[in-house]
Amino acid sequence: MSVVQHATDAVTREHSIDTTRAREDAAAVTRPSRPRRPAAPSTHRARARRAEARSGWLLAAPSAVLILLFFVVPFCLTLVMSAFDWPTFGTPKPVGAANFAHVLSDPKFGQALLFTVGYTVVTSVLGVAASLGMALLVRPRFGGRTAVRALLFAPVTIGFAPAGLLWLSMSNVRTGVLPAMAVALGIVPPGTDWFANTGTTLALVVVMTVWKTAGLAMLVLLIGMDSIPQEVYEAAKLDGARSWATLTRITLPLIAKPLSLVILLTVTTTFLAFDQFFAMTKGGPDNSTVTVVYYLYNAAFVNLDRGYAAAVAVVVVVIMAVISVAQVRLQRGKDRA
Amino acid sequence: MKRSNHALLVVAATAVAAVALAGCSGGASASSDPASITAKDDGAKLTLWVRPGNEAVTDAVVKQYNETHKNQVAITHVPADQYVTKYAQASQSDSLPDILAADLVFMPQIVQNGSAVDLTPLLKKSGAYGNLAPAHEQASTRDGKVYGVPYVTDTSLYLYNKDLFAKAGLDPDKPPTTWDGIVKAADAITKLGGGTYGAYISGDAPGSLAYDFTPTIWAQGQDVVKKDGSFDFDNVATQKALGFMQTLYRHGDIPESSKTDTGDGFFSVFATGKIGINFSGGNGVNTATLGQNPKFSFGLAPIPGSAAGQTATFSGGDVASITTQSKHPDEAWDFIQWLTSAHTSTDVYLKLPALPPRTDVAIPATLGAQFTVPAELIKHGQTYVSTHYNDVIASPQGPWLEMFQSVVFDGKDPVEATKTAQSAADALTSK
Repeated sequence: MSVVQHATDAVTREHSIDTTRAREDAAAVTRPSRPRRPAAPSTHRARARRAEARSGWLLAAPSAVLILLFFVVPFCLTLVMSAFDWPTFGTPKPVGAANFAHVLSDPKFGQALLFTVGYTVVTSVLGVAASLGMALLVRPRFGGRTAVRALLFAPVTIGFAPAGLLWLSMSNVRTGVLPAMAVALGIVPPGTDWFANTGTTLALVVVMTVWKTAGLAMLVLLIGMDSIPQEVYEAAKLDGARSWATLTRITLPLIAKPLSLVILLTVTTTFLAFDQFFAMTKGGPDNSTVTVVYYLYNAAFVNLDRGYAAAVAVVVVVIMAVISVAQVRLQRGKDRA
Repeated sequence: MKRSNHALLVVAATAVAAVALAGCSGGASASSDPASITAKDDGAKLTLWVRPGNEAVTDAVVKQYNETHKNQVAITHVPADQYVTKYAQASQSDSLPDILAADLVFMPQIVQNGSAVDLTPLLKKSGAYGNLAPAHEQASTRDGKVYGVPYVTDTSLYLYNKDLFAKAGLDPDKPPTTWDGIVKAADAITKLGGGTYGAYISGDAPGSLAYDFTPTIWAQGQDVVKKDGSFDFDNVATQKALGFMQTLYRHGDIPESSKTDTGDGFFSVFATGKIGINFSGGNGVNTATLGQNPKFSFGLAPIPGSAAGQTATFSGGDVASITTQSKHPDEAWDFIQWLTSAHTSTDVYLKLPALPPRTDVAIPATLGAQFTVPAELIKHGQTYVSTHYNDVIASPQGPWLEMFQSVVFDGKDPVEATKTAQSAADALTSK
């Protein structure tokens, strides 16, 4: 084990001791007399516990009602709808599991799933790398640091649809500034249409998505980095650690938590991508950029086939659940190790 | 605790599901009786939905009505590519406008759902019946009853740049009347170089392709929609028409950017003066900058079939109907009656100028070829009459666009592509 590793371990230990102590302090503030109070009669204690439970339920009720109304009930409804042939006009007919059989056997859904997975992998890797790079760049103090940070964060504040339309018009072969620049620099021949080719279309959407989302991830990582005490870096410096070693042995291990949060959020939001494709590609060229959510949209709002769309939604929820559970498990495993 | 929670959840979900089921079964409301409708101008506020893009006609016509009537019509522009979606949602929540002006291709779906009032007796009484643009009426007719009237009329044709024709040694007054003629002219114009292309078509806009590519199929005497509303793609005429477009693209006569043009280049690319032949329509000539301030002289010609003498045109535009959910059917009819009167066609439409809803009014020769040519074509205009137009033709993921793009831009064999499109379309229409 290297010197640097030692330093890191020491700090991590110290950190955890600190947090435990802090937690105890906090507990002491909120319930100052509890441990010192003489033991009350059991009925008294039971009543107190019931009162506590009641106020707990009362406090949680507003959120519980919202969750019930906007998550649980719609999901149950979707489950019900998925077992019906439910046209937008006309009477629904129960069809059992036929909708699910169709989802799972439709090659177009398979293509959409495959494309979405590919897109998620590429965008997540690039997005996390970019946000990490940006966080490292704007971390040290320098003149105008706040302005640069604000600029990098700015794209986060606009929606996906306007961002998509912005990039769409910037990349338009006839009127866009990006193709004109590329032609002027001699990178591409005149008249090259990036949206005519799957590879370049996807590249544009990925770049737009990373540009639009990396700022938020950068912010989360910066907060993580700022909580690393300066002494660790000083110790590492004394031990002669170079910048690469400092990054891989100190910074990265100590921001593991925020980093895994960033990865989880990036993967989830990327997998459910729709707006950017709806705005920029409409699924083209040659239907090669249809994501699973786009497929769902087509079923529900173009073909007006709600039962089938509900079945697609249920399948997507199951896939998302599997991905999220796997990610959380991986994260927990890392913590224990 | 856990058990009772679970039970509560099930009860709640079941209750909500039951309510939703009950609500959905009452989808389309009962149609209003045309016999009880009489035109009234009593100052009612009417709502009207129409897609954006033709404001120079749609808004100008409504403005004239509002200025001369107590009734006041308020226009809402609903995005064209989401029109059916928005209509379906409004229809379910009983919030359709008084007057629904939709792209005529969506009318069969709207009529089938019982959203439009039968106008037949009213139109017969007013004298408009039989004198309106035929494709619009064909799209609005079901079982012999007419449910809508033309609001915006237009027809597909090709525009050609007379200056480029002359430069390439072609006769500017003799536009090609066959596919071979078009390919030869396009080749010659592409050879001029300097970024000129022989031909153009908005290749990623399924609705535009229905409009300006279908005539090449129809001209050969082949129908695209069958009597029952299903589609016929797997035939020789469609394969030949696709082959014709493929040839143009292979020769480099159509620019690559056509593949991604979702409609924004429908006229604007031709307006740059670098395109020889543009498959499009008559409307933009008048409403876009092209007709008002042309930088070059251009002509209009019917879209031909493979052989001489074959031509066809898609009559497009918007159809206005009174919805069965309207609270003011009498006042809405007052607007429709005014809209379809002969004097509105001559005094309002032709003064704008725009192509009129009526086919029995004379088009002044002073308006020029950009009006006289399409006005003549509209009299023989064809259209799609299918309740599945939206999912089979208009959808960017539909079989129609995939068929066109795979053959023309990706070089797929037309025989294979039409077969694929046929089975995909059948899967959608058989539902």
